[in-house]
Amino acid sequence: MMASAALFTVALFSLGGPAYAYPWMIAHDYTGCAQCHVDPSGAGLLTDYGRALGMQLLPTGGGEASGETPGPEKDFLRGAIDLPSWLLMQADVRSLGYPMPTTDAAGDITGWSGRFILMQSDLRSGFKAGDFVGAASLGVVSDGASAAWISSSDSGWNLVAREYWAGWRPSKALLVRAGRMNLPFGVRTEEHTQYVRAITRTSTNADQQGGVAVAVQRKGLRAEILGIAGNPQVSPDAFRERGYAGFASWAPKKNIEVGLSSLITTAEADIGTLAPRTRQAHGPFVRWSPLDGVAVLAEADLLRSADDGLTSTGAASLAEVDWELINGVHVRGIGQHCDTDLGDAEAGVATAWLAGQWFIVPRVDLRVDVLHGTLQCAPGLDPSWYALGQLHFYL
Amino acid sequence: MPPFFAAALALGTAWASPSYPAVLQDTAGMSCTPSCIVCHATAAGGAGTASQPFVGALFARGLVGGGADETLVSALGQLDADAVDTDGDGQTDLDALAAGADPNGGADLCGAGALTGPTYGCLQAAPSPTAPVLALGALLLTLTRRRRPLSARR
Repeated sequence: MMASAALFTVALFSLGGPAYAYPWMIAHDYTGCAQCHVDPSGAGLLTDYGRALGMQLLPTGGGEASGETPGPEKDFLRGAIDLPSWLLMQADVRSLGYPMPTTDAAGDITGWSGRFILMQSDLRSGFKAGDFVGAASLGVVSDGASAAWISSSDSGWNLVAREYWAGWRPSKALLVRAGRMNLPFGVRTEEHTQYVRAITRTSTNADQQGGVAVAVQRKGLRAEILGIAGNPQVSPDAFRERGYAGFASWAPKKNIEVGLSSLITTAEADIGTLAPRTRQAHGPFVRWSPLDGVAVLAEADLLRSADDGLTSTGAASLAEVDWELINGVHVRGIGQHCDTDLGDAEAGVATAWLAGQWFIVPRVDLRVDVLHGTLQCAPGLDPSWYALGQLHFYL
Repeated sequence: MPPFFAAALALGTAWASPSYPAVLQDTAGMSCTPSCIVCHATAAGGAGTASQPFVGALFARGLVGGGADETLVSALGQLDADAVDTDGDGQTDLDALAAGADPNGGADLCGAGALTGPTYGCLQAAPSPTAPVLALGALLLTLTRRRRPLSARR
């Protein structure tokens, strides 16, 4: 097999849990996120209701018609620890094994070896005491997520703290938070490699920023704005971005939500270019369930960058259709496009993506993805084939 | 030769080779840990951005991404044996690196005005995978040992 051909490999497995957001839950009439997540804009630590729903609604054999109310088995470590009612805990573990090609001097593939990556092993906790609430996570990764490191090992194995914040509810509809938290922007999804998440640096993997946020939830309205004070885990200070990120959305019906996002940050030195940089991203998003079991997610962001005096205007977009074939079995088609500079001669990049996800039993899901395109929004890259398989669980 | 050997990705993480700068420093005898820019288009590195001419020469000699340190060491050895001079300035890539120069012909990698990327983390810890795994395990064990007997829970 010549290495000049597009490379196609299969990632074997990963273990993990729903420290994630499932925006396709709008197909089950969930337009908001705060019912299931402590973070009012979704992702991360689950509420008691979210844990129950994860048992009842997601897996094959569950479903809205099951009528069974989960017992203590929905709780942290299946109820092995008798937690006080004000304390929430969750353990997320995710790992990945995949074959790695070995090549000869000519670049031809001569064999394969297996590799293993621990992507996530987070212990999450949160509290609810009167009008006060908070959440934090501490975990270990073997690779990546450097922006969330709290240790600094070149081996790649590091402690990570993705989020830690405390908040106060002055009213039922308002939450004011301070700490390191996810950026409120666009469709809150776990797929941090999607262009709209990566290029805007708004993924839930490691892009969290320190700051103060105000979230509002009232009937069909959701909104949150974060005043960004910078990522405390990056240094020196020149690399810390300051600015804001926010969104506002409205769900006129249970099956549709439309929103607008906006982000402006500036840093003395950008972590990517090392030059002074101001980044902007603005655009609409929509979540819509046109049919039972079908969710359509879309986002389009206009990108503006002023990088050491050079300005550029780009765009990133996402369209995703999730179809729950039978209870717990999802098929997903994703298309995305990104161009960091619409004014230059370089064409943008695009990816077509097909995924299947099976929530086999409570807390466990298997996912297989096949995609053709590029891993990053970097115009000029040649597209390739990629494939991966994941197995997630949480406790 | 494939442009990238980023063969698989996970939804939770993209390919990363965080150990490569240190391996490059050790193997090439550099006086500093080089910025990711020696191989990548951006200082932050990351999958799909390893597009500098120098890394192309390494790919041609067996380098793969994803933290396979041994392939970097091997490719650097082959690069030295082949006396590759990527930027054609008369100095081989390995000699350039040892002198703190950019084999792509860019700015100095180790001089006073060298571009250096950000550093991450706030603890100088985790010298090995054992420490963080043990720390998390100890925390879980502590929590588990607080479990009360069933009778007390009712």
